[in-house]
Amino acid sequence: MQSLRAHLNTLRTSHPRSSKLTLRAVVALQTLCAVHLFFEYVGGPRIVSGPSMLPTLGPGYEYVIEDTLSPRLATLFAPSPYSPRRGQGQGIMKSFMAMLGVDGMGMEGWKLKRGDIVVARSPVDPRMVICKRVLGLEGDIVALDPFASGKQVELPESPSPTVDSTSSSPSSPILQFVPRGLQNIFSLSPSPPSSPSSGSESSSTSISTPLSSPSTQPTHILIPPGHIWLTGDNTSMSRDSRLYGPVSVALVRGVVRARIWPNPCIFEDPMTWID
Amino acid sequence: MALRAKFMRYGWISIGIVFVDHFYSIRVVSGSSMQPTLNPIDSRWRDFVLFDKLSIGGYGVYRRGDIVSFKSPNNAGPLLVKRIVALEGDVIQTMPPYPDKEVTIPTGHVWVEGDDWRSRDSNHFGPIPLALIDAKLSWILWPLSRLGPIDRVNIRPSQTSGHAWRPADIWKSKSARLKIGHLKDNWRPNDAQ
Repeated sequence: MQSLRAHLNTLRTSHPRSSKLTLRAVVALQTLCAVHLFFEYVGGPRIVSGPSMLPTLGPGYEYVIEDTLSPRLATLFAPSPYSPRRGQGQGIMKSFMAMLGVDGMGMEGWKLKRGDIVVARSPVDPRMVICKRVLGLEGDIVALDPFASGKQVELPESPSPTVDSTSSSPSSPILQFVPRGLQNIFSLSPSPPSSPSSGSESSSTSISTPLSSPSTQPTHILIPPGHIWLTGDNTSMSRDSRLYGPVSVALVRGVVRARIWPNPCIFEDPMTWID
Repeated sequence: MALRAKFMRYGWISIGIVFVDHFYSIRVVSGSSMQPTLNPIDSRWRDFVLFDKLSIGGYGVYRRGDIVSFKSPNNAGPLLVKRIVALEGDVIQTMPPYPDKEVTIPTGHVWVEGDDWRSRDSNHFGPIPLALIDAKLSWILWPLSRLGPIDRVNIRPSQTSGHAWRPADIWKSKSARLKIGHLKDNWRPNDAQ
């Protein structure tokens, strides 16, 4: 309160003709913007709700701490085709990262890990924000549930996104969402793989089979570069990557690190290796 | 006191960043993938363009023919600038690198293509989610000889009249491969339900 009054005084001395109300509004706007920027770029409390993460995050409103800084840093230091040397940590940046105690090569510490709970923008509705768990990273192979692949996941409380009957084939709701251009899907069914497409520029090496015929439903998906596989913990009540395929990392907003209320806890890595 | 006054003055910076993040910003477009609309080959300058984030995004309007900037879906590169060709439900005939002949654009996705045929666009990485779209390019500000609004290319063939630097033929050739689906011309996600 003291600093606010001081701020108002300084503003009044610098803008003597402005009224007190205007100055207060300006201060409020500045504060709002600063808080918004902090939430946007560093992190802060966030309310999540919904049944899709049920054993971990309850169906009601829960206050969690969202970390939006580390996905941004991971993007910032990730090597890209435009600057492949970025992220390898050279010179001052390398010593700085060593000082921070972060693994210098590629900023591994900031990267998403399997098992992280992320807050992302929904790939099917730009206004919706989803909270799911990362199951697979780029290059991983995810097995699809053979029983779920034939029908759309039904949610009782919110209808599935309305798709015109002409635009969706009812037999394969999953396939239409998979980014086909990256040539990442391959089928383990015994049908012979099709001849490689005419595109010579494509760098992907995986086998590609025609997906138009219903007999060659993919059973496994190789997650393309820059994508992750998201699922809710409550698999029966979640619309996730099983419906819309791998999700681009660029859609990820933040990582849920801890819960404030109810039952405060820090979310640990739940993933274990199975040999 | 003077120090505090100086410090408090930086409150305006936060307002500025929020304005650039969510309202308007001016950026330089580099690369040749939008030739001849942006960075035409005879231009000595790279184009300075006004990026409009207000009229697109979650509550904005997505229109076929708009030039938008978006995050690359498959790598952490810079923002890409391409033209929206097809909205959800449309059927587009693809260009060579794409494995399928025709694509029906899934829910919440768009098909983006550069005006130049060498561009790295949806023909490489498929339809992109709407949530990746960052801004709409609305005005060319520099060079001054081409100062003016970037009109969305008219889709109806009777209205194809453009500036000399933005031939409507590009859109003609693109829309020849497009079969418009259930979405109207001016569509915002709110109308989807």
